[in-house]
Amino acid sequence: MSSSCATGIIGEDIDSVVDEVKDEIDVPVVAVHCEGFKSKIWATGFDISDHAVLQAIVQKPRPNAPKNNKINFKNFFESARPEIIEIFKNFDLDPVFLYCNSTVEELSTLSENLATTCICGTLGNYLGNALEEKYGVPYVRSINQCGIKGFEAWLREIGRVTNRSEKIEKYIAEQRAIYLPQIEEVKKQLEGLTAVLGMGPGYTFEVSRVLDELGIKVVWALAWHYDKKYENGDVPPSMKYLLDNNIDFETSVADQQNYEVMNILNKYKPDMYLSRHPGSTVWAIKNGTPAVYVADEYMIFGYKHTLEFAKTVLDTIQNRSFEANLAKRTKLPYTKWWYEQNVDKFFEESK
Amino acid sequence: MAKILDKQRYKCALAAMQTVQAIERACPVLHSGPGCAQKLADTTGSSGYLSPQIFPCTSINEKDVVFGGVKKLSTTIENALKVIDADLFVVLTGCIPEIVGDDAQEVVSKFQEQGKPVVFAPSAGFKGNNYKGHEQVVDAIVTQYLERSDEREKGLVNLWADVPYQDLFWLGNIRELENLLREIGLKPNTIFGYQRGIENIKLIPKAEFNLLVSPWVGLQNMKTMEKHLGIPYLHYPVLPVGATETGKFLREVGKFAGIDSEKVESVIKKHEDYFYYLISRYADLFLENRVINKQFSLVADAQYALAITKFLVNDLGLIPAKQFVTDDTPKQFQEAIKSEFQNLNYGIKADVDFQTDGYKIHEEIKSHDYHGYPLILGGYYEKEVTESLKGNFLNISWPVLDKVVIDRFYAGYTGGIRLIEDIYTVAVQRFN
Repeated sequence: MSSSCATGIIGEDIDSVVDEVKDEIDVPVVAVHCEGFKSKIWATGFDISDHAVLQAIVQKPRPNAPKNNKINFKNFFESARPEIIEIFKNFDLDPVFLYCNSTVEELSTLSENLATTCICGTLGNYLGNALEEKYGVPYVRSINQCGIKGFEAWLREIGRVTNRSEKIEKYIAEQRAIYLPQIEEVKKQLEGLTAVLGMGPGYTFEVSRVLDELGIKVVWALAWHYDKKYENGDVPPSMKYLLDNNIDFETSVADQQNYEVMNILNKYKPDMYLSRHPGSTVWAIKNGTPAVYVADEYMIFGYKHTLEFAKTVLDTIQNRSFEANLAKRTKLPYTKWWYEQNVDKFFEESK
Repeated sequence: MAKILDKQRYKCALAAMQTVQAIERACPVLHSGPGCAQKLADTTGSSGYLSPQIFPCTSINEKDVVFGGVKKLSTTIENALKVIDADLFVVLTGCIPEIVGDDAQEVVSKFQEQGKPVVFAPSAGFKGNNYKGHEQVVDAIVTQYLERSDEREKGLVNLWADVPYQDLFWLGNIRELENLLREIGLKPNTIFGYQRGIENIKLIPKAEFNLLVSPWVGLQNMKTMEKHLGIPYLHYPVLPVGATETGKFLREVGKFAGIDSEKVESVIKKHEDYFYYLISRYADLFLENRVINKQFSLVADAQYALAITKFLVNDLGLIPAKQFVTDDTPKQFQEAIKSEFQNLNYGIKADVDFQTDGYKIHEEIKSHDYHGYPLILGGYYEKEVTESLKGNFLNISWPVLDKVVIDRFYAGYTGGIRLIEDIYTVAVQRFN
């Protein structure tokens, strides 16, 4: 039972209501405090939903629970579900996808599974950390599955926590032989291109890494927000990787208002804009900047999709007709004055 | 027991931001929580000059709930005026500021005193749906932006019909209605869509009359304009679709405007000739297919439920099963709408249910004897239930998830033909 702005402000006691009806209803009922004004970042909702699942559905591991090969896998829309099931068969692992098609029964036994991983740290770290802290289910902490570096680091970490390193190394070697030469081939045509990207705190820095792998120079990365420290106190792995490997670019946090993005695109005139959020790419193309919409969380997943992504970027910048035609005939809604300002014009010092 | 809203078919009043969006170079400014615009922006065709993702918004947080958000609203408007190149700014308030008591009117007044083109439309979600919100926006523009004019332009008529974006065919419909009015010699003035906008808003006070083509949405605006601008109105409750209804519509508007009936009849004849030329060529398809039966149900807002029922009965000769009006029609309008549903050829009467509980609607559809495959025109929610009955489904009302409508329309003679095309496209796609 979730609260809204209106019920939150007038102080409806939904917890008591839930307590009253809980016993009469034979499915889990839980109060979810998710008033829209509660947080400045929408990703708080991910944590809130994880909290509700942990509170009301997930049970303690049963003492006599049968041993299983299941790994919890939190993702968004599951487009790669069949593919991941196939990949994980190589490692004798059975993924439990969360939450799109989850059943209460599946969720209630999450604590009995081998490990937890996720497609995006922002999305899954609350659940992963909680399952680890409360029930000792290891949470796979690594850079995410985007790109070659990320995919391999992620697989190896899964191998380490589930004792399957040998199988993982075998798979990596096979896949490398198939895909690396092809990716190297596309890379030749991508080298030297420039990009601006605007995404969530996870993908901004994960995709920046992939672009670096593909030889594309990130000139500015905008993140919706940034957790300096994760729940366990560490710097997020995606940022640590960029720092350790000296991959340097302009970045800004929480400014992803469209007028700010447009100011940056207009100033830097990159070869492409990459974004993950509805209603954002259209503004780049109206500016004449080719845009790649990275909405599907599996668009850059592993070897196969990194290759596809590289080719999609190439296709996008090769034919700029659509954006060129539209940009030529579009009047943008921002004033000339605004384009002359620095992007941080309206920022105020925090008190 | 609280009234149940199951399978929601409208949005909250704040979705009237889309009414503002439909006015070229008008910009909504939201005084609301973060995410309201995103949640309300589900409709395709909205990445034009401004899109919901980029509307200026105060993005109210916990601190503003406690201490009030008027200062934030003031700076948001002030900076929107600097950054966004627009001619009219419409401030809309969501649930939060209206509960905590922010005086948005006061903030907006300050800008109005400086001569800035800013108006305020209260649109808290808990006060009503986006049909009401649409009326709030039009009322705000009329009362805060316009003044009574002594000048009247001969033949000029302000035309109002669908709610932009909520209604799939809003753009095409209003253009087609304009064309029809123009043909009988009137000068239609509309404010929504391509090459309409602020100049048309400024023209409103000079019109001879307002014409509302809608069962109830917009009636409040007609009354406001009558009072504030001294403009009389003709309330025509049926969106005309097809030959029979469009003929009636033109005759009544012509009579009200004092247009020579010969002129009106010649326009009707010209259109009917072509309409029946097409119908006659395709009549065999209507008669000799094996999947479209006589009985149908509409599940839609009052506008479409009524318009399409009239068309299917009076032009295509079908028989209405129960019709479902899902827009939460206020009680005071229900009787008049009901009587329109009972005013059909051959004394046929359509039973109409004003219903916001989708479960009940589906139970009724399942239990009705359609004498064969049902024909259901409704929201996307009806797709599955229609398929389970092996019926024919056409998505004509919100939510629309299985079709893209760019500027097609169902209004008028041509609109009737388009609707037939859509229905029989569904029919021929199945085993026939």
